[in-house]
Amino acid sequence: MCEPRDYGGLGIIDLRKFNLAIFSRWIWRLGTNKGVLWKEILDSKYGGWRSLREDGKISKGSLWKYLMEVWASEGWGRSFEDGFKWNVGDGKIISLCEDNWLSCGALKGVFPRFFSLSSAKVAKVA
Amino acid sequence: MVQLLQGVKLKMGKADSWIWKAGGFQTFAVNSAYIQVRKDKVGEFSPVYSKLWRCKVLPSALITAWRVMENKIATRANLERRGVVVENSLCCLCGKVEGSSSHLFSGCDFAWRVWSLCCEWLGVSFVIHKDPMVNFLQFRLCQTSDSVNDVWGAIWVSVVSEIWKHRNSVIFDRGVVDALEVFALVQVNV
Repeated sequence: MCEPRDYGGLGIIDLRKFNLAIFSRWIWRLGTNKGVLWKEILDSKYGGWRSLREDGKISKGSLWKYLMEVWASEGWGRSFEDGFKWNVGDGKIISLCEDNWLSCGALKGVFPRFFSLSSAKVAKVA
Repeated sequence: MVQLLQGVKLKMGKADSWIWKAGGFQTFAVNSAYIQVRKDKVGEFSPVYSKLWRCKVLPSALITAWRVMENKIATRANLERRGVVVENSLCCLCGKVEGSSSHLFSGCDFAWRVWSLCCEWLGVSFVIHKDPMVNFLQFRLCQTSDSVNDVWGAIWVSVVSEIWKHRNSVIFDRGVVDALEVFALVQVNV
């Protein structure tokens, strides 16, 4: 039923998945908005959008809790990260080893030996 | 790794930012994200359906036709398969054969009469295939140009939906089996 109509379905929206897409906008804002209060609060309380990658205890804060659920749901977080690319500016935000900023996957995964030898695991690009 | 890094130039005074790949707007769009969420689940593209939905007929008729093609329609045989108790699974229009959907819309004597009336009316001869999907494609391709074919598709859809409605009225409203009536209704629809 939820398949698109040209694929043999009726094109009805899959609400669970659509909800994922809607919530992703909040993750997008968390990564791109600047100087907004709600983001500053979430950043200082939970450590920014990168902390969504670590699954673990689900905290009580409701928005953050939902964002964690969205990120973990069906491995969506990974596809969300694959869905955008980094536009490299002065390199102060991108994490050198953990972000996929060279479009070849995170350096941590591509060069695991380099990562394990590196002393600056959380360094930024610049 | 050095090779990879050489291709990157830092732009001072400009913060790092994100570019959303899908959708062509560079910024996030829920619709493109939704397409991405469900990407892995999408089956095969099927030209039959794009042709079906293009027909200009009542949506209810289209959905009936869709159910017939997918064999999702509640014929007696399908009901029995799903464990519903039916008094008998014989076709209610001819009373001879099991009332499956391939029988009801092509094999049945009644359906055959409706189809042949239509063919006579349109001035073509036509072999009725027992698979509804093949049937639809063949019927549609009687003519050469695409727009005319869509009209033929529409005729096909209304024949199928009228047969279905007629079958329901025979079962539930004690209607009389009458191929001429169905044929007249099809003509009105078209």
